Amino acid sequence: MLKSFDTQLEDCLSDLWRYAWSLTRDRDAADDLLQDCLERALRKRSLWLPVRPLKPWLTTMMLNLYRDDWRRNNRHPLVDLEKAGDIPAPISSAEDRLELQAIWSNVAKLPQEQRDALLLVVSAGLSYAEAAKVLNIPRGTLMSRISRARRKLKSEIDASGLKKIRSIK
Amino acid sequence: MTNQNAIDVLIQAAIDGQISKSERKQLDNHLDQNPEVFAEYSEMLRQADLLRASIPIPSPEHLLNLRAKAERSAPLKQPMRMAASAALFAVGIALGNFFPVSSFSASSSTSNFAKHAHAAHSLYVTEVLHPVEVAASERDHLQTWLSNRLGAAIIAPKLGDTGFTLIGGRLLPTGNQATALFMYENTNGDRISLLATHGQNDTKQSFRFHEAKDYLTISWRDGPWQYSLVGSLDRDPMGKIAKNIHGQLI
Repeated sequence: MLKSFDTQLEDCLSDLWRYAWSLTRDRDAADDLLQDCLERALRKRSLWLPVRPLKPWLTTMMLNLYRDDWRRNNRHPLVDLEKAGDIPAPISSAEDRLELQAIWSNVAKLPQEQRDALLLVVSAGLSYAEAAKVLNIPRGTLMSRISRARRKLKSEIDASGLKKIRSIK
Repeated sequence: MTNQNAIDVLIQAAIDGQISKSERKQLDNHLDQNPEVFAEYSEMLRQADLLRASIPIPSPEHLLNLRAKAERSAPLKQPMRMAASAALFAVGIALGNFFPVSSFSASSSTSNFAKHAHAAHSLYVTEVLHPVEVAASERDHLQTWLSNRLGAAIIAPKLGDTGFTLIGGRLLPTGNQATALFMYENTNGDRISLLATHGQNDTKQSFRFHEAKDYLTISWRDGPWQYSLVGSLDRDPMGKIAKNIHGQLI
């Protein structure tokens, strides 16, 4: 038995916000994007079919919203993480922070289809099946996009010399 | 299993915690025998964990607050947004947006046709074996047949760009007129129907939206033609599809 709209909504708020953050990389922008998405979801509530899980539906909505309204209107230009004291406290080592800046800026440079695939799984916390459905692609395609994304990120870091700092230390 | 792609898939699944026990065993075996792959895997795993940990976690109070704000403004903000977007889009679809969503309340012929389209779609959409009379494999035959019966040339629009492909079509009565129904499906299994009839008064009417019982219906008129598009998708893709169809049927 599927949970109610309200319960499902509550369950996925945190992941939706994290997904919004990973798209915008800014806390205020993530707040705005999530709020826009929730407003749209509440207005369209009657179109949601109770037999379908809510989270993929909302995530799709957020991605569309971001693609159509946000990026086009450049409402919040992508913030460089260097400025952001936004990385949570548990990651405190200077090396990690440097590497993260590099990783996120490389994520921004990934081909869109690879970035979409990666973030839906990593930050929106969707299963492969759900993420594939959001992007309307087969699961195998999704996984190969994720694989290419991770390999690309790894080779960029390998090439950047950041690892060297790490290993000398 | 030593196929490179298969191993790659297992590596990603392991990183994302979406790997089964038996797959995990396969992967571990392979990693034991291939230290260079193991090194690669460990490095990707470390980066993935770092990335995941770098995404802030919002407090529950903060989220509830955002949700409450959205609940307060959902019904109010809408007309403002619409007004802003109308300036950006071509007349047709934007005008359609301006009309309040009705539940088939007006008793115009557009609304009657929309009602009919809704009923026809609801009836046939759940048909697994016989959703259509003539399948898409006989597209030419389908178009000729329906054109003859409608008394005017009708084509089944191609919706490839929107992810929908034609399943086929059928002939239906609407009052004493013949109506063509084309049904489409996407890879998610979502189905939409386009209904068209010919011989109404010569008028033009832009998109009207009707929402009722799980389906959204978009109706418009173009000269003697009357169309309705029915499906359970959101307004956003449906409006775009309607616009796409409108463009092809002019």
